[in-house]
Amino acid sequence: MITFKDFKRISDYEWDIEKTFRHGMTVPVRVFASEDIIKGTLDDQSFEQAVNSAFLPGLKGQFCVMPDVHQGYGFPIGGVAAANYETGVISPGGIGYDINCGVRLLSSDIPYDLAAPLLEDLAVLLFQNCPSGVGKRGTAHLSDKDFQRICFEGSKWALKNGYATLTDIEFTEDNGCITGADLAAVSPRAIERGIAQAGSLGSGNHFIEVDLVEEIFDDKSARIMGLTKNHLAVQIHTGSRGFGHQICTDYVRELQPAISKYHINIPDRELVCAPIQSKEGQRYLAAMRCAANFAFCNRQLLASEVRDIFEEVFSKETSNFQLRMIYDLAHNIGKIETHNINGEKSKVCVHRKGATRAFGPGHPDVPEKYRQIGQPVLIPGSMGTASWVMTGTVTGMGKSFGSCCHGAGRMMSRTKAKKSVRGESLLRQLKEKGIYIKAGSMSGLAEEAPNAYKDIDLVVDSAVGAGLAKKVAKLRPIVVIKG
Amino acid sequence: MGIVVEDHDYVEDTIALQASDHESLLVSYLTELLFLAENNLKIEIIELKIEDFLLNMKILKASAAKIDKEIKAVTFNEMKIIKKNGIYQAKVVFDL
Repeated sequence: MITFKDFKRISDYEWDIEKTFRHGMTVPVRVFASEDIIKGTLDDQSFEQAVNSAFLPGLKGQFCVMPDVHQGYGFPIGGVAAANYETGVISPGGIGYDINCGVRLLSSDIPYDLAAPLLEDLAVLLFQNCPSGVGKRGTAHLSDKDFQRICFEGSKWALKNGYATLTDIEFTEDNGCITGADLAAVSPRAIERGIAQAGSLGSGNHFIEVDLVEEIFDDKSARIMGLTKNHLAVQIHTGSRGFGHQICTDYVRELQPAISKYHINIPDRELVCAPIQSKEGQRYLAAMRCAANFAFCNRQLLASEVRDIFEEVFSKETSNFQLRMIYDLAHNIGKIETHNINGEKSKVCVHRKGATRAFGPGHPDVPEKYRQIGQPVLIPGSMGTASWVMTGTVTGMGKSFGSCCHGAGRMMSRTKAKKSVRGESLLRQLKEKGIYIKAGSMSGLAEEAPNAYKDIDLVVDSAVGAGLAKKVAKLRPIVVIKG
Repeated sequence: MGIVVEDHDYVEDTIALQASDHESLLVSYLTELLFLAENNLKIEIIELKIEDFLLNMKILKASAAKIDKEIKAVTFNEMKIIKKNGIYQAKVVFDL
């Protein structure tokens, strides 16, 4: 059992569990969080899972833990690991079941005062037209060929088919398309689960949210991004749906024999992995990229639907009803990147599970428009609480392989949350606060109650305190669509 | 998963699953049920045989009106299969 005494303080927001803590760890664990957050997280398995993950062979630097950390499966959610590209491993559990779960942020010139009388209509239309909930079919009805193209081309398929603009592509991580996808590495069952779901939100913590830009902390960055105080913005949070879930399931099972074949020592079966350069590792990478591309396209299709609804609702009131793309990023993904680690350039596979890429100013992978300020970092809050827009930093590149937290971080189990609050009363409370919620299931709503999550402001303060990101703007929800 | 059955128009089907160990077989079995539920099917198992790491089952399936709860995946996390007084007990964690 891990206690607070096992953490060595580096600074107010950086703590180490040293490599010598348990025999078999290949790197130390570095936690980016305040003392209070660490103490509040000790009663779940998060840090135990971080220590287990630090056993993975070929890791470089340290296993990083973000301030929104919570217990996952094998790997903690909010975990970042960089494995040597030549000698390290890739672990499907280190990326997660919802491959390329991520967030997209769009901005507008629609002032809140103009929008306020129309918000209830907006909520109804978003809920009716953006498929959400369990197993729902998506907005796009795809042929087998279209589905294959989405797996290879991601959001670029959406561009070719009228669902995206060039700007959307430019401001999506990896331009919405990761090369190296290969459908031959994907099971027919995964395709069967995914083909009907392009353009759907799903359930759980996924959402479409209309926000009000409540506070600006960095005028220059907000101006460059196009965020204006008191104007509306939209966030879309979803991933690769059943397609990604099945690919992860398939490979967690398929890689089980790889552990003995490659003599890998891991303390948890859910951390199953294979050398990146092995046939098994390459197959998983190719399959994972299909799901990542599908997820980029999924968020793009939903954004297209949301734009149509904004036009329908607001075009009579203003000619400035358009939604502009700010950024789209993944927070469950494995990426081949080059980082400066312990003074030398290393090619690594960065596993980000519940962690956002947060590249700093000057990095060539940051779109030119943002290169001076750093990559936009999108940190959605729990339902009914604030979300944050931040930028990556040069310091973060060195500390966390250019990674930051991805949300508030759950601190109460779904079962506990459901026992603590009823969906109907939560709906009423949030309406009194001026937040319109449309949800497919009242029990699902209760599971996502704000008190089930950490205080996002404290999580963000830890990320800023550790130097992983800088605050740009705070968003307040006004319409939330949940599955 | 809280499935509500729409009608009782059951159709018979057979499913065969193979795995490298009991834990993997349990994950495969539950993943199969998850897939059927995601496709709005309720099933009734009328025959189930497990020999070594091979599972064969005969099922009746019917369309279901609604699934209340989505399960993303069946995990190996903290999985335990134990035999107590001749009865197998398993602990399985689902990703919701």
